[in-house]
Amino acid sequence: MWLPAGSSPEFAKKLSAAAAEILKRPEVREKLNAVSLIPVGSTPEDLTKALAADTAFWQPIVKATGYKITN
Amino acid sequence: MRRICGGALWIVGNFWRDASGCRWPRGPVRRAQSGPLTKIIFPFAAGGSGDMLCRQLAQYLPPLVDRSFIVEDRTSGDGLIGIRAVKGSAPDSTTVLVTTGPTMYLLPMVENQPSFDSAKDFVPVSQLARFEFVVAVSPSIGVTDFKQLVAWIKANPAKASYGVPSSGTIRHFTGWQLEQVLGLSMTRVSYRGSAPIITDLLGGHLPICITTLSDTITQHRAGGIRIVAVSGPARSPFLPDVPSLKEEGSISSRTGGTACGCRPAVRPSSQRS
Repeated sequence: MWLPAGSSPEFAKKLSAAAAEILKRPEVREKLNAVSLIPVGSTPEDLTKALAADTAFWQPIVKATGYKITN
Repeated sequence: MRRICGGALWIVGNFWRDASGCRWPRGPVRRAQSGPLTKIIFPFAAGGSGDMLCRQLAQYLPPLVDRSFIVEDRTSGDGLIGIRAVKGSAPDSTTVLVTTGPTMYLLPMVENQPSFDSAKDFVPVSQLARFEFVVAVSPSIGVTDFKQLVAWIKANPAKASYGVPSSGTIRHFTGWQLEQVLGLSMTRVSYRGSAPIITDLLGGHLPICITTLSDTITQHRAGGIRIVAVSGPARSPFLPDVPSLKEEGSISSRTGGTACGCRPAVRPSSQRS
């Protein structure tokens, strides 16, 4: 979950905490599990870290494939 | 993420809630919401699992953040259209993007001229849920597990093709990695979505596919196609009997929940961290 650049970090934190709380509720977990989703929930910092780790992991692989789309 | 019957289920769900809760003539089912409106932009089709996640958030967020929420599915371009719609939106809490992790890190890598920079154009909020990818096979090739699949590919190199729902995605690159790790060559066939892939697997026109667990689990349980491996580092809680790629052929992998996606990857053992 993301906000456009320039958004208030306070709103991001509030939203993040609210989403994490919702994702812990049994009724929500049950619905998500039914469509094969595993609820996670995290802080904004964790999402930043995950994005960096994912980018570092996939960058060399994508580069090695040589795949590009023209836009 | 593309599901066909989900839309119908959602409508049924609404109808059911209408019948049990709201009274005519109140019109469409809406929860009492207050506060300014925030749009959740989701760049994939309504009715899929990600859309369902967005709708759960829209339902439960209002009392926690004092805003009301609606979900808008902005499809097409493998996520690009929705992401572009949020990029440059007013930073006034009226627009939120929920998308898969891979769209945020892969699209800028594969686009000739990246149309967004995840770190610069967006403020991170939260990882929401993880989903998994699988390797599944057609019943026509008579393979029941991953080791048998590897043997089949070796014995049938000319027939060894795998379908992915679109190119430039995790499924595409996972297939490529699998070829590297196994030292085998396969032909990648790019489809438009998972539904025609499942049809071709069932009809014996395609031997192998790499796609999401949610798109394949129903047919797997029904015995139509067989999931031979899940791509995460561990077994899926939804398929405890199916090994992960990490267990198979010493392929190491890692995964992590992101926006509403994950990083399921096969990784050559030489690159293991």
